[in-house]
Amino acid sequence: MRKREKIFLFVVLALLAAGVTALLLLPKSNAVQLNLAHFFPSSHPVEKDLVQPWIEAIKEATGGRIQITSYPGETLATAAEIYNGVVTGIADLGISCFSYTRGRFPLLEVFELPGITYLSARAAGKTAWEGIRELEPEEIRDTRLLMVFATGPGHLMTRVPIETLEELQGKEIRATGLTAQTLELLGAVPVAMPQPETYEALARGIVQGNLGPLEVLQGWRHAEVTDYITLTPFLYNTLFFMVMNLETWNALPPDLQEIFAKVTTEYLEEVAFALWDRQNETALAWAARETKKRIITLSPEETVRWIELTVPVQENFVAKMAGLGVDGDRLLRRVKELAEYYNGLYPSGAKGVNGFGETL
Amino acid sequence: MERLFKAVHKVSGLLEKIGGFCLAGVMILVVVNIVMRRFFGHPFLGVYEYVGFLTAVSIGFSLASCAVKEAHIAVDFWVKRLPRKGKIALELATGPLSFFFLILVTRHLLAYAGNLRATGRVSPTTETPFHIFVYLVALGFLVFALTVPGTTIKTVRRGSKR
Repeated sequence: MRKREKIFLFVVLALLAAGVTALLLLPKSNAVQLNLAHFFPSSHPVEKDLVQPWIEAIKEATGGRIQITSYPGETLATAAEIYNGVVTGIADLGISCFSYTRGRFPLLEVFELPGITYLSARAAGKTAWEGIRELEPEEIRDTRLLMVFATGPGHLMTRVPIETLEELQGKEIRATGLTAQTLELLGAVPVAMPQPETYEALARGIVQGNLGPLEVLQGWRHAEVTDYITLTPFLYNTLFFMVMNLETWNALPPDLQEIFAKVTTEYLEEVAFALWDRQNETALAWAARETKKRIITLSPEETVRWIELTVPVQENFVAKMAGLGVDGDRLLRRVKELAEYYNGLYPSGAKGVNGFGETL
Repeated sequence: MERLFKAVHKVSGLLEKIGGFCLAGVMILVVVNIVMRRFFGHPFLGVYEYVGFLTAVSIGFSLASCAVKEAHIAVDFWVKRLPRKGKIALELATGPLSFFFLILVTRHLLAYAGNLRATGRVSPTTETPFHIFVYLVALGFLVFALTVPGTTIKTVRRGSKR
């Protein structure tokens, strides 16, 4: 061996030894360390206004006995793999959308069906939260469900103006799981993908528009790659979940479980449910003022045409439920009841534009 | 033993051909889709997903053949400077290690595919079941793993002859 190589080998070994010693000497903390995987950018309100304050609150309430580290922007698991990642223990906690994993949560699609009106994100979130607690669906029993919140109504944000059904024909529009069906029935060509992929798809022309909540204009910077907004609050709702690995939950001592549940419910009620209402409102105001987007309101006749075309989505859902041995009709009726009740309580998220206020 | 390696080579060659067809399929799909969008105003449903599936298969299936041809990127900046015996020792150490690693990858892919199948995961636009393609990629990794012992033996023989 030459001298230089000997020196190199020595340096490598020395560094290795130092590293191992440092690891061994690290003080072992008694706190429960948990990691949280989600797909929102670190600058997004989910991270800034929900996750970080919630982590702080949990830490404070437990006297530092639970410490959570957030991994935003798909750094721990991609959007569609987050739920599975929590089940297998890659992450202790995860936030994502049920509709990114089509077929995995068949029952929960009931909360995202087109034709059910949600006037605000809070009304949609409350409906889903209460509905899920009544249903106790088998499909999510492999994790501990901590939160369910919603986007509320969503709209078409496009590169070309869409004022009539005819203008939508053959346009490739980004969708989530269930809205793909809706868009297909309307004559568009849905391209389903999680939100983190959408900006690039819009920029490169893979899709000509996005069906989603208005907040993506700002939170995901889609204002840079779209020019028109067609208000279609009857088409869209998407649920988010926050879940915890079951073993991790069961391993927490009862007193910590109690505090954890209490603080989390507080954040669900006070922050998460209304998070999209606030975001949608500020994003729309910002888009109209700063980016001069053209906002298109469909005429009442046009709206009726759109809604009529999407009726089969609900029918397909009921048929699918029959295949699973579930009374889909009853389920649908119950969700409509809940939606009506919570719409009454929380009728307006973003001054009408969010719900039906101005469009119907 | 020799016969087994020959069989692995043959299979890897076959997989590469299939992978090649998948790659060609991706190109045809994309081009036809652009034509459909521009001239007929109605692109195909699910092209985005099919491109993803076919790309996964074409990469998964070309891994083994690429290893046989020793076309994978290898960083031999230090290895090149080692004496012959050192090179042989290194190959004997890394060969089995890569073999077990690739078998582990295969196992996890199979478990992942099984999970996708059990939970009924389908692609969101076309509702195509995902697990089929994960099984195919797992097959690619299995054949890739099986090429490793052959490569190790070849390298060691080549080294000791000189």
